[in-house]
Amino acid sequence: MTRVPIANAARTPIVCIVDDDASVREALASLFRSVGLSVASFGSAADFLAREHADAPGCLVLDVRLPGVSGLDFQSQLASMDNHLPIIFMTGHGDIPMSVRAMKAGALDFLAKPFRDQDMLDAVANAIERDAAARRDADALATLRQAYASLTPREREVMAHVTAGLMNKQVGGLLGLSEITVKIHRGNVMRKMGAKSLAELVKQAEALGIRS
Amino acid sequence: MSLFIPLQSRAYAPAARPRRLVAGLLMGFGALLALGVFLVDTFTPLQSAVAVVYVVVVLLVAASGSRRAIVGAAVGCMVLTAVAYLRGHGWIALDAAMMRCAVSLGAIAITAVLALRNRDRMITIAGQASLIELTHDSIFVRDMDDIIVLWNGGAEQLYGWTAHEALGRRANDLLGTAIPGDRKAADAELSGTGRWEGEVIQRHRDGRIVIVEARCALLRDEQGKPRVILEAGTDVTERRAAAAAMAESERRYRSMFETARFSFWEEDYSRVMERVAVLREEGVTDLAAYLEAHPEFVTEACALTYVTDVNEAAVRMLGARCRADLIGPLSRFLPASERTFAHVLLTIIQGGGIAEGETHLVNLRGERLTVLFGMNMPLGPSRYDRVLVSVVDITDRKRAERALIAVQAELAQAARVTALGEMSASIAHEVNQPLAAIVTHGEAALRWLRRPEPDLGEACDAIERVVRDARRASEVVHRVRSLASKEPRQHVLFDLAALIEECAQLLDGEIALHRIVLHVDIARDAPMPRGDRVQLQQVVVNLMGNAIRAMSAVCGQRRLLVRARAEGANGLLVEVEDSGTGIPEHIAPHLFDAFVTTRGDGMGMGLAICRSTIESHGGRLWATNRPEGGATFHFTLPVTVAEELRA
Repeated sequence: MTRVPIANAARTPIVCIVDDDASVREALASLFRSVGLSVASFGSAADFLAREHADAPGCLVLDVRLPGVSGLDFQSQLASMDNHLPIIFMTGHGDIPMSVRAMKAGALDFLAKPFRDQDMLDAVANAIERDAAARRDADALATLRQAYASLTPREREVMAHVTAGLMNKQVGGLLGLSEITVKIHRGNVMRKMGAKSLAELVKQAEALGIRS
Repeated sequence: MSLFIPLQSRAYAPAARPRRLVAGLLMGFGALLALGVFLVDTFTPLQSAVAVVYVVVVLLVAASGSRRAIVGAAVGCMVLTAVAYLRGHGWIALDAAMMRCAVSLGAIAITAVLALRNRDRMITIAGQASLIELTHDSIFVRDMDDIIVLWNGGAEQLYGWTAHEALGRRANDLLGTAIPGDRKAADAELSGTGRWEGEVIQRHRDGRIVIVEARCALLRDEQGKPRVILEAGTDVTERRAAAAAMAESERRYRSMFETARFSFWEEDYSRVMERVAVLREEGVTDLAAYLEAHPEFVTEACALTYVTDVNEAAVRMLGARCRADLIGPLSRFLPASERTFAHVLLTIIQGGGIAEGETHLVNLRGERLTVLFGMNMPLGPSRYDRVLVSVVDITDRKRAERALIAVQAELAQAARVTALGEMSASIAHEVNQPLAAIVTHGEAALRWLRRPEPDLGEACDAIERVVRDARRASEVVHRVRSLASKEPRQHVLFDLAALIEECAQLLDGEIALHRIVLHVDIARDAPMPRGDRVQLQQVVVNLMGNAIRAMSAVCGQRRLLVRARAEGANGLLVEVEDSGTGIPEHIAPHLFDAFVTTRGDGMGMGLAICRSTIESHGGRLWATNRPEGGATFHFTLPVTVAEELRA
């Protein structure tokens, strides 16, 4: 039996099921609960959109055939809403063109009903892992942005030039400052950004998309 | 003739009576004169040849008397002369009186001889004149000054003028003769050869125009000087008018025939009708049955029917260079397989009327045309040699119709495929949902049970749902089955021959397209089948259609045979046999499975449905390959006698 790795103990992963068939919803919910996952079931895409969602890693298990809007259309609808929840598709009559389209649009997996439980659980674990990673990356970037926002305009200029590989003296020449002043600004930048080395600062600048 | 003789005798009978009266009077006057002369001669002392006056008596008698009367009068006068001489002058003395007596006797004798000869000539002339009167042709004679000198009863009839009115008048004033063509040439011919014949236009008394066929003869005297012209004429006005009307009617007919946009044919059926007459003499009464039983007679009759004329439209339609290409036996254009000719033949035999219909012709380029024809059948033998047939080429229209039908069929097929696809997808979804749920519930239940602390409550819930969903799936399956068998069957008794005929009509286009010869052979003992007519017709159409397509690629004769006969005590066996490519060995074991097809465009449902239809009727459908090539599909249908009786 596979243990689904729980990313952040504080935030239990949630699997969202969207299928118009109540039996399938119940069965999936039972399966996911049996491995300790939280489950939220929805009968339609509209139900899913109408509900507030907890900020927890998770994934979406979606039937291709949905009343009202098709699963594939729902997928592109979510993408346009900047919702990047990983999607696992299920289909009763899957065909190749449909799965290609779904995979191209970013679906993680495409399972034909009836599927093996292990395939579904593996797909879900994979999806949650990805979502957790994506969330971690997003969290880190947000912290970085916050730190960057606390810099003074002069410190930002210094950071840009330093991460571009200029010496303190050269930076001073460019900005009309003494080398000492540049050194002080640089020290402030390193502290505020929480960077332990110049290399780390360069990575942060890249992540933030700073170009001198 | 018979009309004119009584007319003439009535006209001339009154004239005969006064003539006899005049003759009597002349005779009496002659007798009196003879008596007077005798008295003068005997009792007066006149010293002259008074007896010469007897000549007048002879002439008077001769004017009307018979031959005997003339001889009698002459002899009498001579005796009287002699008696008077003897009485006055004694017995014979050779003197002046004797001389006078001799002269008188001589004069009387000569006069009598002359009168007799004259009379003979008169009789001849009178005979000729009565001949002239007898003829119903008009005869008149004019002299060289154009004055009419003879005018017979026929002329009176023809021109309206009586002889009395016409005689003595100028012929041209009376008749205004006009000669169509060269008058001078006619005159020259008449004076040169003495004869001229031709048509002249003359005027009747009442002013109307008469057309006369005239024969003129110029009569000359002994010196060869032209004396009179005899003109005999026959009234041809009505004949000419009728001929002109006929010619006009013919001209209009020709004009219609030539310029019509339809193709017109003139056909000669007289030789065929002679053959039919021979058949009748041989004792054939039911010709319809005879034609049915002797197709070779129909073929022969078709070859005996001649196309005698065609118009330009027909030349174009049949791809000929000129109409001479098309003159000849009808069989060159009418394929032997056409059954319409027998129908046409029957229509003529049964006394004419209108025959029309659709048939096929083969033109000179070998193309098969579909045409509509109409013919007004002759009512009597006189017109068998010229039967007018109008033909309209509807090949293109038919082709378009066929294309339309083909497109419709394709569309229907596509719709069926789509519908079938949709339906199967829908059924698959309906069944798959509960199945997916069942599997997942089962697996979830196992997982609940295999946990370190098994959760029996969750496991039970999951297993209950397994049972519930399995029931649901079964319901779906049941619903689909009842959907498929919703239509109630309508079993009726029907005529297999009519059903096959309808199938052949449905496939007419394809049969023609692939030049397939269709034979239908239903044995007399074949029982009437009972079943869902529409479904069984689909089976037959399907099998025939398959056979046709199997033959579309083979060379040589393409023969489709549909056979039916009794099978066992109460069964019917129908066989559809083709001379096509046969059933490939690798297909044979799966021939009747669904979705098996040798055609790119087929669904592979045809034979599967055929088999289930036949089996639902309690019959069997199977196929065999023929050793000589091609395949035979056989199916049986049980025919329950008891059911028949109830029906």
